[in-house]
Amino acid sequence: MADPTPAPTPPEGTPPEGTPPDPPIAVPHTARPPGEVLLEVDGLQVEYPGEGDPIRAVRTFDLVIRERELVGLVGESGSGKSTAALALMGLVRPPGRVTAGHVRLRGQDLLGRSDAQLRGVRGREIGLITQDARAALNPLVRIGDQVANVVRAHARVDGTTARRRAVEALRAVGIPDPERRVRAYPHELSGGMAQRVLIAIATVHDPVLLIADEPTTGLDVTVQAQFLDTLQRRVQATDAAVLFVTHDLGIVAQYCDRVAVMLQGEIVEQADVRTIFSAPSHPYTRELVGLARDRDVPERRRRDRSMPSSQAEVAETPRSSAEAAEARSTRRAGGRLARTEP
Amino acid sequence: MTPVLELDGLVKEFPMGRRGGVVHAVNGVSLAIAPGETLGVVGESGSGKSTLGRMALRLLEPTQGRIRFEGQDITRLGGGALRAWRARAQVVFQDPRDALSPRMDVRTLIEEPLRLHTDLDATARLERVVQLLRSVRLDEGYLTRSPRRLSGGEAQRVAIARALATDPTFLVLDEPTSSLDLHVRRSILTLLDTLQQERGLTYLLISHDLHMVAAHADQVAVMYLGRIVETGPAREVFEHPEHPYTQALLSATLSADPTVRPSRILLQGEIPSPIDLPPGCLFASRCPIALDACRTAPPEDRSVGPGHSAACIRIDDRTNRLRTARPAAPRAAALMEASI
Repeated sequence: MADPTPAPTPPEGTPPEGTPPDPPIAVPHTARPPGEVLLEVDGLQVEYPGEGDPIRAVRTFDLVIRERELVGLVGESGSGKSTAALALMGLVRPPGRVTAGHVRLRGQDLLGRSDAQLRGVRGREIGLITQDARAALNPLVRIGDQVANVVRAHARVDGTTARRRAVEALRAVGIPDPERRVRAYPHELSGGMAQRVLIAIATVHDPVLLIADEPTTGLDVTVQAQFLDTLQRRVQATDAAVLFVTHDLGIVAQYCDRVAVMLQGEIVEQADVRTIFSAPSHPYTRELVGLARDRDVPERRRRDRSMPSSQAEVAETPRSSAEAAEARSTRRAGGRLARTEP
Repeated sequence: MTPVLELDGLVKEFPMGRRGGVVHAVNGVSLAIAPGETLGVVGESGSGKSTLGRMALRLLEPTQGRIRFEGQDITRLGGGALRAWRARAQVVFQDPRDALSPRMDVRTLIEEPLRLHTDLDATARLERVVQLLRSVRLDEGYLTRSPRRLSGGEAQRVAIARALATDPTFLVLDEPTSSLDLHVRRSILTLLDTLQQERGLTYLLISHDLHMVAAHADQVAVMYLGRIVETGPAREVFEHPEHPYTQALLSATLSADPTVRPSRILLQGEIPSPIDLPPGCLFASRCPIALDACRTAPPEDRSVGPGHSAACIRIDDRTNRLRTARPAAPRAAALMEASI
């Protein structure tokens, strides 16, 4: 159970050095006492080599996550949100690389560490849940062994204990009949069940931080509901903080305390969840929130089907700045501008 | 009025390799779409909705059942007659970048159906291609572009232009916006609505997103494991879902408003395998209110309103409402509640 008693400690611990921190962190709308600073990211930059100039996938990224806080990192495809989140764990796929910035977990710098040292952090202090669980699981290894291997990677226990803990971990994420299911291979599981196995693996060492990178993409909504419920239970049981990378503002609105919005490699706005939805300040955030709100009231648009088509045109013709930006970034990814006509 | 499309008892089974057995993808679906209307088919993965759409277009042969198009039985149409019919029924797929050959430029892509189905000369074809581009709100500058140089939204516009090239009356839209970002989705859906009005098109809109379908369809059919569990006017189904699965599906959508905490229905249990379907109601394994009787025989459709029906035996004594549970609030809120 979550411990409801922590005294409202003022932000303490690691003193911010050098660059001034972000505007003061708003107290989450829920008036929860803020925990201590857990993760501090400043000036993170990630580049990939391009034809000519490198592509700066993450350009301006400053973020603070407090203990037990659920932070949503939202943005659309190509905004750099997944790259940034994985970079926090030292997981930038070469030839990409981190070119600037600091990441501190409880004051300890992460980016300066060797891969071997980082392996001691990943899976134990920071857990990762990715999208597409079937791709993340080894198809040749029984799921019980995969969980047990993670147990033994960070704890000196014998095989029997590791297997017993694997069964418990699977039970904790709602896998029915875990004693029998440990013998299943990933292909024998439904997508939703495979995704719950990932939660089990990510939380088996009670990490202080979970990074969930689009964990519900590809799940059906009724299965997603089950998944989110399971994740929330595990997070509450283990007292982890969560960085929730998603493009789904419904998940953010319903599950997060605070939100950071990314656009083209930059965090353009961050605030507590109520502020983001009630008073978004950046135009891009306003657009995202507006679009997500529209979804909530489909009947209204439905009635508009009889509206004069000129009015539909108004909504249609001037393509949004975001779509123009999408087109730009596609062209950029293509390496050169597509203007070929003389 | 004669429906544009009528499906009557469609069944599709896919045989499974050497060991025998079949995947029961579609298990007896009947529906009809009136001219100029949109029928939304909603379901999650594995519900058979895409298989149904492909059968409606004769891209897959049904194992059983009949397909009528504008009153004519096309179930066994073949050869030249089938090819000629294809000009009238077209499709837009989920991922335009998969649907458009990267080796053709935009002009060639849109021109291809014109070469196959019309005897227009090159000049007339080019003129028509430009018209089509304009109708999807793209200009001539796109003619020489490769699909790889298009954004997702632009590529989907090209795919729509291509589908419209032969002036069809009927389009299957198979998850037309699922691969697109939110803001692009809206512009594509608005475009599809506008084109429908301008051209009097009839749509079969396939999606996993009940909210999107409710906004853009006239009629809705909710599918689960290859059967229609509920069908009716879109607004009716959306506002008064009767089948427990429809209720769960609707309640699973998360509101993008942190101050709204709608009650949710959390399902337990696993989805049966389409290889080994249970004898009774296919939703019984996950249904919180399933009775023993639900597991013995497939439920018949019950009429629950004008044009609105659902297949659940608990409708008979009005015990078909699922109880909703307020979801756990985020931990922060839970802490606050605990401290009160």
